[in-house]
Amino acid sequence: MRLYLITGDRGDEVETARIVEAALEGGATVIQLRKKSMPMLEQYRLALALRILTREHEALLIINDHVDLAIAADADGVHLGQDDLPPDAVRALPGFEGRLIGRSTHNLAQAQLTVHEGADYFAVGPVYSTPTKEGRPAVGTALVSRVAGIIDRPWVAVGGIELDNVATVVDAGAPAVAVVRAVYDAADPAEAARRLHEALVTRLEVARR
Amino acid sequence: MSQVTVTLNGKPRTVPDGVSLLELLEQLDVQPSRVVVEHNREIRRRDDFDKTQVHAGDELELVFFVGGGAGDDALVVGGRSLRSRLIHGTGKFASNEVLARCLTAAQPDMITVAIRRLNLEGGRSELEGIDLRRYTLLPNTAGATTAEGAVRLARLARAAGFSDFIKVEVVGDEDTLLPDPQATLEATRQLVKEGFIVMAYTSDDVVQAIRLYEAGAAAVMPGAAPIGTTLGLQNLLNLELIVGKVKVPVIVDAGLGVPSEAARCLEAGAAAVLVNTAIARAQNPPEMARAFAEAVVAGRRAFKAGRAHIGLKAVASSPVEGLPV
Repeated sequence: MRLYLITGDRGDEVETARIVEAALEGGATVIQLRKKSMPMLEQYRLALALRILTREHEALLIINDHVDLAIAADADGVHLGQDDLPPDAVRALPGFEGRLIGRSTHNLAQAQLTVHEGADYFAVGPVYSTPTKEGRPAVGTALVSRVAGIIDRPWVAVGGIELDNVATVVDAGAPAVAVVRAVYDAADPAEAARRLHEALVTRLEVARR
Repeated sequence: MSQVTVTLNGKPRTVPDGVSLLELLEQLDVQPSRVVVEHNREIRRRDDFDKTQVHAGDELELVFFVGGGAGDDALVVGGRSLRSRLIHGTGKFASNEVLARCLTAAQPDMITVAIRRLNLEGGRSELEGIDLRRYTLLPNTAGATTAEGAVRLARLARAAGFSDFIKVEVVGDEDTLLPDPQATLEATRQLVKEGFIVMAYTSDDVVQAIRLYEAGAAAVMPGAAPIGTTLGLQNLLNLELIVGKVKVPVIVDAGLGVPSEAARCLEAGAAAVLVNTAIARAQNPPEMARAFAEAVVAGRRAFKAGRAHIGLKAVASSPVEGLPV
């Protein structure tokens, strides 16, 4: 639980599916398909493969940005950025009913607004600077704490989170974390996911006391 | 070996300098297989316990992933113990401040949270000043109208770290907000298969309650009356029949109005009650929260004490011997 993997841009369908499968075996429970430069037909085939893998592992499959792909591949939901369609408009699309909507947020006001707009979950970040989102300033753990203090929706902290800093992020109040590099680019993604997951749930147990 | 001070689970403790984690666990009488060790904020693998040495100033956290310690008469749901038999809702409160005071007054272990916010008006979505980590969260799938939708919301809640508990709630009729029996059963089956601790919201139908129990629900939650009505327990007989047939905790959910009704549910053998509107919309919510908390204690005590037999002939309670006739 609690570990959300976002796919990196690197790798073709086969390579990506292999890494995702390893991450699922290591304990990831949400997979977000995010490929900024892959042609849509390939993304569709990849999404179908990930749909099978996530079903086998009882994990959620979320598609970044592309609502049409989410419906076509029968994904569990879509993840939207601040400049994408608003959640209520997506929710009303034919074929979308019953699916989840997630949203990226970068400050407290956006997080609060997202809750009011009817997203099912949101991501807060980047907590630390990350090459995945080059040029976007890190928001730090202070924002994580502020969000944790007031919001009772499902949410994840994202951005530069890895084994070395996951305890700090959890201590700041994050109930779950999303990663790209820490698992996707690891030499052994299954082991990386397993260790990250273990560090996460242990620190959460400590924080609970 | 010289003695040094380390921090063990947040408290100072004196240990021999350079002691291995394995030796330390032996001294503490802890089986290595039952614990995860965080040493200076890093997880230590079990294989490394004998190689890892503890030195002055080190921070150690031993984490046991088991519940317990909740007292003799704890409510046990899905293997987890809850001290309080009042499950506290978090919706419809005038403000977070009022909710926080209610939680302080009622001292619940478990509080409900909606995964999907239902309405834009009056629905609270922020819990400022309330430390959610102090409670066992019971997320519900309200907002789902299909089994598939409920399963998705449950998976999201678990992935977001709410808890393994899920209250399955699939509305079958928008006017009464009564649950859809077929979809509730389907979602329950699937989520049980996935290892969730499923608490299934149902109407007061006895057979549906049995089916949910057979499907593996960890608790069955029949409504007293439609959600938010505060009409109180409408069918005591059905509650008693459900309690008699279902071998997991029966938790009366929805529609209660006043604490006496909560006590009545517990007296009839219900394991707990879930109360939201009756507290949130009371004239003095924190006082009402406390009253409900006291009522469930009284009701439970009465259930365990066993009621007196009902007789049709009057029998004087005062002694009559020796009185002038």
